Amino acid sequence: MATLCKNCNHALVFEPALGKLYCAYCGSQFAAEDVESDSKKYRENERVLTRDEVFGDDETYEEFLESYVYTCSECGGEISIHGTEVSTTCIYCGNPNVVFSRVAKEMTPDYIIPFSVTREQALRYVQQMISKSVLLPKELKALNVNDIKGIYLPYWVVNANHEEAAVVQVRGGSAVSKYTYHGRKGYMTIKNFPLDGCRMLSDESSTCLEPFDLSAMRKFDEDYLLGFYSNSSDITYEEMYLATERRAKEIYESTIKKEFGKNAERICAESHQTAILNDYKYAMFPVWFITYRCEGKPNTILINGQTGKIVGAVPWNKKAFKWITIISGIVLGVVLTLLLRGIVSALGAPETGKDSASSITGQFILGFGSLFGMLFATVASIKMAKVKKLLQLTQSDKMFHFVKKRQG
Amino acid sequence: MAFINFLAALFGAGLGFGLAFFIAATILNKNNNIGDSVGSASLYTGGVVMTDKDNAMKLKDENLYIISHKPKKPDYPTVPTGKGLVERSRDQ
Repeated sequence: MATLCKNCNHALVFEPALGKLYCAYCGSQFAAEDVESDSKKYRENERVLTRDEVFGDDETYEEFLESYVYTCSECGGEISIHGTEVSTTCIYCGNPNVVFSRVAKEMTPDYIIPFSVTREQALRYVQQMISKSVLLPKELKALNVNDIKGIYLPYWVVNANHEEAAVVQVRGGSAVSKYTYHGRKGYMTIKNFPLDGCRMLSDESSTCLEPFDLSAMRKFDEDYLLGFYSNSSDITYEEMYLATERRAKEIYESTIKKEFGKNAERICAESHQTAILNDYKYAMFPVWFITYRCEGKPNTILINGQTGKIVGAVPWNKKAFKWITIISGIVLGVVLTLLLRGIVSALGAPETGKDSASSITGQFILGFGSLFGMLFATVASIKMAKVKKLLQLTQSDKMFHFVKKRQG
Repeated sequence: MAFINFLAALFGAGLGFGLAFFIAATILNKNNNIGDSVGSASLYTGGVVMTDKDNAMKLKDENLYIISHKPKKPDYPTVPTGKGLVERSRDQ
């Protein structure tokens, strides 16, 4: 159902640049909290029926329940929504629609962070990001965005306690053992920890969108959804617990390892208790999804709709990367060979009759050269793995379908 | 001398390719990989409070340490773990 302008009866949309609802027809502006509509009252009394209540818990229904059909309150056209969508746009009249029965009572968020990054800003950020990237494939030189959607994602903001006993293995022991072992027990409290409540979106992507400024959270009002897409949460208590436990363990263990600096090798044993407190909150956070195609693959860049933080990797021309590495490798190889040869000759090879100490130093330099070569290659492989991992997320079909499946 | 020349060429080439790969990967990681960071721990915690430290441990003691320091289950109400979908908390 759309929320209509009380001056001209046209559909309102939330305008991030103004932070208000805006009527594109007459130019009126309204604060979301000030707009009262019959649909809001209707929502208050509407009870959400679960899928199991309607269709039973037969798993075979899953494929037939791909979409739900509602009617646009503006033009009467059919609105098709998938899975956990809450708000969408009518493909016939283009008006924003919020499916109120989906945000009724049990699943109404407590808070929302409204979009503050506009569509134009989001697009500009991505264009800037791509223009700064290197080794761009030809088709990316003129960016052709296929799709840009602002989606409110469901988040659970939790408070938790984490207690853990752990044994840290640390390098640099005595002559008897090259490791020392240190027991550490402690606890920490976690406050306002955001957990993405959307199964379709990977945890890796959603954690990269952090941080969100929670001080800007406002009491939920569905009018903030107008003009944007949104989803309701579909994670289970178990998934919420596991995500909290994983992040809490990461934070706790990296903190205790910091005490030993780079010598901390690993946690070799641990036991922990993570408890999520009952005062968790349900909120919606804004994210822009920008999709473009490159080399036949969809790429989806995410932008935090509050802070403008970009998450994504830009594809690169793999052939050009390979040849640049090979050619610069040959050039550097020749230069370094001459340099090493010069140093070794100066210090004296065994045949030159110079003292053996200098000769040994020369051989050490050669040894160090090869060691550094391996070290550089290892660090380079780690860096490449990081870029490839983010590129995989950017090009994942799951993410593409999450955005693409929406109408409008 | 020929052997030293061979070694210098071998290690020089290794170092050259390693360095070239390192430079190319660093540039690529810096320019094409954006937003690959998560919210820092300080945003969500006030830090870890240590209640016990043992610096004189041996490897064989690790299990003993864990057993004797195992955290207890919380004695206050917490969110249950189960297969049900998470609903709004009534306890805010």
